[in-house]
Amino acid sequence: MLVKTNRQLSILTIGVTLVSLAGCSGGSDYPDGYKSRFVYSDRTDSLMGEAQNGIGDLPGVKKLVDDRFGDPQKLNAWLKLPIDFGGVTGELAETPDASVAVEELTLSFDGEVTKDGDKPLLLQFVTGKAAPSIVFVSNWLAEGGKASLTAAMDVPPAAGDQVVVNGGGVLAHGRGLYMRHCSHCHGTSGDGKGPTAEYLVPRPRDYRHGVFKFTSTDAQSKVSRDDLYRILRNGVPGTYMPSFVPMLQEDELVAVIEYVRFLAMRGEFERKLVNELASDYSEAALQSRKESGESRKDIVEELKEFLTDDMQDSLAFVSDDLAESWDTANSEDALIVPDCSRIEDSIASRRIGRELYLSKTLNCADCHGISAKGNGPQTTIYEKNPITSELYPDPGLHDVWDNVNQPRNLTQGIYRGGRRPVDLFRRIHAGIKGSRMPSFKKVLKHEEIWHIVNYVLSVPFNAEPGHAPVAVPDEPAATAAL
Amino acid sequence: MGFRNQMIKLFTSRIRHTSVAAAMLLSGFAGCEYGGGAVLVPEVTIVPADFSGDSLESSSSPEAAPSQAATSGASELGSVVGRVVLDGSFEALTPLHSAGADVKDKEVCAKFDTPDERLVLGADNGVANVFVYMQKAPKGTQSLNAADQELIFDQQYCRFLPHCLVVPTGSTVKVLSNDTVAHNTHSYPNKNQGVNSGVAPGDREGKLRITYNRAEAEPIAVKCDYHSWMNAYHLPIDHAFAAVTDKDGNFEISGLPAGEHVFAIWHEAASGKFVERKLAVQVASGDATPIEIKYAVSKLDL
Repeated sequence: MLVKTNRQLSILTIGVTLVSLAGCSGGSDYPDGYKSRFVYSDRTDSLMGEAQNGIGDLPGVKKLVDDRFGDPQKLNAWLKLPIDFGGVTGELAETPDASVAVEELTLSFDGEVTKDGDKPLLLQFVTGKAAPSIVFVSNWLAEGGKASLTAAMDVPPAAGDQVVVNGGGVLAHGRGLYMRHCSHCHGTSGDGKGPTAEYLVPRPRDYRHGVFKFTSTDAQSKVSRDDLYRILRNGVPGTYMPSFVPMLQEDELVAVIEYVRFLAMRGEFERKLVNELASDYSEAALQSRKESGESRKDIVEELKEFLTDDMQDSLAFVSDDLAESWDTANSEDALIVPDCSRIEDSIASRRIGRELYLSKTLNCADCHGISAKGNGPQTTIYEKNPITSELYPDPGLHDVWDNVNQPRNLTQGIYRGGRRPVDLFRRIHAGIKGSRMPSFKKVLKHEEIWHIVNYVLSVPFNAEPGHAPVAVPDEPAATAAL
Repeated sequence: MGFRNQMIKLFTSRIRHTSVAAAMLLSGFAGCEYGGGAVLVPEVTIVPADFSGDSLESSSSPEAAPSQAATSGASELGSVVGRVVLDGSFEALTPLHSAGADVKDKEVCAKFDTPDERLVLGADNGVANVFVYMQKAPKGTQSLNAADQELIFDQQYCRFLPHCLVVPTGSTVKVLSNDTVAHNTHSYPNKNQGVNSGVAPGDREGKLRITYNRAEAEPIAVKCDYHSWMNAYHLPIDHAFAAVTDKDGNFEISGLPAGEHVFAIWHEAASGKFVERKLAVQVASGDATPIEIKYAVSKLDL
């Protein structure tokens, strides 16, 4: 037994009771220690203080991000983003008579709104004087758009005010699922630094660059919802990312995907805002400018001018760009579709693939090695971070997350982005975003890519690792493709 | 006595204590919402798309500019002509690798000496490859329309040509290769989208085309992943007032309205990258007197 005497046991009992009661402050509020927080990136922290926190009323990067995305307890669903927050948007069709208590509203919605039995509809005002208050609709008549509220409104709204009914449900659902299933690796903010992350190689994805590696979209496009769905469904073989089917249902998968996109957009928005300021207002720039003779006071004045005059344009550019790129990623135009059907696997095709692999045009062996073991000469060089010009401590090429980018060992037959031939086609066509695998779409014809795919799929089954196979003509050739 | 002992034993037994402790622990935890942070259902506030200040239609200065342009005629335009000179003595950098060195793809990359382009000096200590540019277009100038412009970005003997390139936003950069070996072009912009694409050997028509849509605050790096010493700099800019010094350090920027203008002088080997962040130059209309921009040796970070 841990305690030897009954006296010690009594002390233990009383002590534990006191601690447990003191540590929990009862009631419906939870203590601060349990609140989740979104962290700011290191890039944000490298800016000078006034750029991070703002000057007076002028918001800095941190406030600009918080206003649009909120914190994990109170999320902000920014309608500019192409995220399905859930709910139906609409607007107030008529200005209600403000002289009496406003208990009835006339609304018109962009989609169909149905009331689920006795459950009241949650109506949130997005714009206008009444925003952002929430009211509950006890009775809803689709014809005529009449909504009866459970209580009178404090602030009377006006016609044209935008509203959302049952909004934010998908986001809230996604957040709950994410915190339960994903945050231990990917972190509360999607920074890939959850509590388990330090024990994992490769590291969990840091969403905040807005870059995902294994996509079906073009080299310049972002990840699509389908790609994220595939990752959740299949996991990422060769890494710690598991499959979440059938643990998560369809609607849960959809919600998690929206929340992951939300976190990715938040991180990217923050990063892009910092990029607008970093050249002139980072701590390093501040030091350099002070050495050149400028005073800190002048620099702060200049920053103040920038925040007043130019920040609007920057915000507009950044948010338009963000919204557009994430939206077009889901379109058919972004999808990589080979212009010829798959060339059937054959010894001849594999030989052509092997020749292309070794050719001077592609020089795949430079990274992937002559035997395709992922041990090419590029894995031994020391290189500098292209942004900071500092030498990386480890040899080899590095990816955009500053991790060592190990070229794939093709002899193992583990393909992280999927092992369908078209998946490998897409890896070669678009490259792997964020990594040092370049896009070869400007160098190769689609037929040539299929030959390389056939070669790659045959590599694990070759007697001599990486060599072109030599099989007896009437023997069926082994292949990884099914 | 026996009964009393038995009672004491019962009430002070360890099992009793442990179970009481457990019960109190549980009740204590039940009183607080353990795990509130992760399992809590969050509030969601819907925020309108045109967040205050985000829309470009908000009144800003561009409206004022055209009236100024209308009043200033062509005769009031001037130019800035000058040289960037290294102030002090400096021993020229040795080549990165000499002809015939045992480097990757040496038949091509070591055909000639590959110079260290971080600091290239010309006649009279003139410094080549220095960017001289204005951070923002001066008021009263026309906005740039470079959608039809095409620039060439070539590579030969495993060197990018040119090493420094000013790229008007909206123009097309054609990436060419004059080498028989594989290259790729990997750019690292801040405000634009980067590109990481292979370039076919001997591609003279430039299948890879790059367009920058936004001006950058400073030049961005462009590298080749196959040959780690290869690098170049692009400066995407949304006006015409930018130049790169030639091999002797000379540059010229014309079409500027008369008055005082502020230039940034950027060089890759300078500490902090900027030789000068704000060089004020008085521009007179008509011909310009050449200026000399001193680049102190102490500013070098090699």
